[in-house]
Amino acid sequence: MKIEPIVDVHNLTAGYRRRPAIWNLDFQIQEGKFTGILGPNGSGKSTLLKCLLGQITPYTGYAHLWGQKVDRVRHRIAYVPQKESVDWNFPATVLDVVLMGRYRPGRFWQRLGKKDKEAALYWLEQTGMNHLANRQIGQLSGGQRQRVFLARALAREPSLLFLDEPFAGVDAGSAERILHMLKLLIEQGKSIVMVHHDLVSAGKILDDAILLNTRLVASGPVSEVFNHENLSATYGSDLSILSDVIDLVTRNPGRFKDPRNQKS
Amino acid sequence: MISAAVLITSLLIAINASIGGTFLVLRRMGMLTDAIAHAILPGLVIGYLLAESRSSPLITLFAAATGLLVTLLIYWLNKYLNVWVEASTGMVYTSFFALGILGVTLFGENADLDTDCILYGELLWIPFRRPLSGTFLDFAPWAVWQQLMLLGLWAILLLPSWPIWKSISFDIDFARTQGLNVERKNVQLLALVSLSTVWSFEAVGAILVMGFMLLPAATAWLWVKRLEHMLALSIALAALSAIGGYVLAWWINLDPSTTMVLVSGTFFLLSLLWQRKSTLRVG
Repeated sequence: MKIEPIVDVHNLTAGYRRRPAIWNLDFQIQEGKFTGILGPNGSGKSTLLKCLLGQITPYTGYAHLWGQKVDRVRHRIAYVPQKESVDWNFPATVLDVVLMGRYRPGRFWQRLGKKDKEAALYWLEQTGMNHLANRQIGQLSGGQRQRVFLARALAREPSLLFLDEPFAGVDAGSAERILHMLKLLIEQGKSIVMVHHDLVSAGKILDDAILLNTRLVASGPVSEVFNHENLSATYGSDLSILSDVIDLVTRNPGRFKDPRNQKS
Repeated sequence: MISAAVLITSLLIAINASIGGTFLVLRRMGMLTDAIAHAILPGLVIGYLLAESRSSPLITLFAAATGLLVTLLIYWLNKYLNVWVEASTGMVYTSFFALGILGVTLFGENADLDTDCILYGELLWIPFRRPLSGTFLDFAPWAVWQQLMLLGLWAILLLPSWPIWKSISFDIDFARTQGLNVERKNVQLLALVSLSTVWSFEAVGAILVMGFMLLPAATAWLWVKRLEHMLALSIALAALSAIGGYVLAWWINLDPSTTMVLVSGTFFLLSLLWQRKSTLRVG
């Protein structure tokens, strides 16, 4: 039986103001995987994420989720943006922000109920933020802000979670907590697509990777795509860290399985 | 002499303005009020020329539509041509204002419009504006009915979908990925802000209307940690400024809209000093 990909990108070219930032991308993402979108600055990672989320319209090709346009499956996805994308002086408490994840469009009377509050409190507890529920969001640390965003996304109870560099500017404790949550989600059969910066940690935590440098360099299991040729094509060949990464991945395959041995 | 009609009108204007102002301040769109207030001038002129009477609803319609057009133009210039919001605001509204002045100068003689009344308003004339005379609504001036309608529109807009307004104001991209119709909500908000500006500036003028919109909201932001509280405090401060300003004006014999903004400004200054650690970056 053929497995339907959860994300299907075909011949995707997109950008801003008629200037493409990504060219002719073709790849698929499998359900239940922890997938990273990797590439240097300006490689089009954010543009790709915006296409997947339906925030910008591609010039050519498509990015489908579950074989459909993203607008038809929005109730099944959630998004953790970069924490710098909002103004944290906004008058809201931690609980207010997490509750924002609970709104669903469609009804005229769209106030939230007891059930929504319970769900929000549950996810605050899961992210270790429940003691801060009534705090104004401006008083949180960087790591706590990221955890609030994660809780807001998870309050939507998504099957597919998108994250934009969730570990950037986050303290070690929060990073560990966030990673723990993400791993739990994968264990529960959810799928994660994450824009990621750090190659070394990418080798340790990801199942699959999409290597991007305005064009697609490679996509597939980390153990396969992390080789010298691909990484230097993505990042440029003068990075001494590249060989360390490849060492790391080949020596510690960890939880990566060879896809050829996988039953499907 | 204290006129109940003037007091009630200014109270309602202040309250309505502070509701729109709350969202504008949070979204760093404060200058938009100023832009709308000036840019509606050509709309007023066209409306007047078509209606040939000062109280026709056609004037309001044209003015509000021009206000909305200007906001959308600023937004499009920013989004599609990558012009700074500040730059596009300055470009669009000054051009519209100039166009309006041209209209007033060309047709002003037979149009009974003058720039003074557009810039400074005429709150004290409010009780004498009664286009509804002869009907059962005549017991209150037209401006009171306008503002009551506006208050009703705000209630219809905000109450049923309050959480969505919160989400959109805080993080518009997240709201978009949730499938909320962000653009429609934006236009609804801007349309009401535009209408609110048009209906307020007859009374308080194109310059002071900005104070009515932004000062209570900016003051409230310094004191609260939730949007609900900000809106409530903003409304309360607006009402207090309107009453305080009116009493002050009556006492020292000044134009009430001026003293109302002064009282509002004093609240803001005192709050700023009291709060020291300011959270505000109005832009």
